[in-house]
Amino acid sequence: MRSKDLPEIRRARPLLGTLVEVRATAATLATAEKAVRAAFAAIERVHGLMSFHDAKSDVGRLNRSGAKRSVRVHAWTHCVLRRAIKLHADTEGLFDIAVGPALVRGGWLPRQTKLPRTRGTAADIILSKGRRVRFHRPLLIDLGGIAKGFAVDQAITALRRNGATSGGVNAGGDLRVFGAQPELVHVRLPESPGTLVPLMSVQDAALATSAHYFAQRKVRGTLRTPIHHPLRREFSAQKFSVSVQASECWLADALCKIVWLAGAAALPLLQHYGARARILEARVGQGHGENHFYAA
Amino acid sequence: MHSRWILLPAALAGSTSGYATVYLTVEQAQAAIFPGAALTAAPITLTTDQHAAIEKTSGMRVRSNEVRAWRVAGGGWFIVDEVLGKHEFITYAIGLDAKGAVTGLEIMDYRETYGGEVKNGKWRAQFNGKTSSAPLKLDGDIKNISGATLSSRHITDGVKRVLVTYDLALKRSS
Repeated sequence: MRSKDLPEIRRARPLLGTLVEVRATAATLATAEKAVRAAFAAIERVHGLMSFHDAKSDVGRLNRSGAKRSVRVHAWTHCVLRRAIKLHADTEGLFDIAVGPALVRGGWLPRQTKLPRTRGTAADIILSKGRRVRFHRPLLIDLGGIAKGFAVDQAITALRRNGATSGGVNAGGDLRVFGAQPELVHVRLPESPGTLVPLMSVQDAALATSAHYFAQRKVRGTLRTPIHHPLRREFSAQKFSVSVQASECWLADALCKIVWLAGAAALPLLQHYGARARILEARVGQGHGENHFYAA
Repeated sequence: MHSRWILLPAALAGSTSGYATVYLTVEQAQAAIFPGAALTAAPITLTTDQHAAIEKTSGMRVRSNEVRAWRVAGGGWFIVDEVLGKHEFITYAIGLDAKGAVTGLEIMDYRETYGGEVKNGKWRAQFNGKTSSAPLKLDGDIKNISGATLSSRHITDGVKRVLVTYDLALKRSS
């Protein structure tokens, strides 16, 4: 039987600071509903573990006490930290989850604790057995560039485990789909985000997009995005959208930020991870016939 | 391996605007939040005093005095509310238990409007007259949008206002 003949459930809830949509097709409606419930439960769990805003989350506890004592975290948090530290090394410091102080100063994150006096990086995070984490020096980590994608991956696992035959999870633009049919993904035109254009077809893959629209705000007189360049110590003011397709959404999510900051220099890393990127440039003026993608 | 960017023409043939999705009807949202429960419509109209008190307590603007509420057998409420962002219009349902705690929240429909930004008339014409109940069809519905995030702040604010509305108006009508 073709999957389009099977019952499909499509739900959306506000989570992870955005709207999260979950779709599932299954043999019965009850199975599809159960799978969608399990997917949302997984996302709520990631939200509870990795929220910067919640003092009781793993991230909140680490930011408060990580430099004083080792903190035991959930296996999922440990996994995300391990991946983030690896990407930090891979990119020679460009992808850095210790970017919290800059985000607080720029007004993108709330000021909850005292900002660290010294400038640490993800290289100051020590992971040890028993899911323990310790900071070499006071840090303020934010998993905003990777946790949303990770949540999407966990939700996809939950859909599959609970009997969905195809489905998709879209957390405010970071998405992943699975099933027998390829699915077309649209992106917004950078200069006119209400206009949707087809970007690519994906099957059993993830796609994440970072763009300036909706996210930009004025920092010292210039419109900036929350994407921070830790080496140049400034927020990007570029106006384009970067989309990255990868096997898993945490990777697509993180690589998006890396391509955003590094441009063509990120190509070897994309190849290493079997990922593809597309950059859609904002065009000044009217008419949309001359937009183009840069693809890798 | 030599790596480089390749310049591709953008495939704009299927471009469209005014994205809209319907997730749940009122009945479906009721079944999702209160499965198997009997619900009775109990709409109320806020008085001028209630309107002012809700705005003062919640810090949010009250756009409508009509509260779309249902009473749940055995205690609890089901409320349908709307929030308006700069470009988005969202209808959602919220479930409250007998003590007024949130038991569930489901987005019912989501609509985007970008009036005036789009100048290309050809595909814009295809959107004219379409409503959320008749979503745009171009090569099928748009299922996946990968793009920057619209914040869920408006919904968070909406929930805050609904909880105050419960406190100041619904609870007392019980």
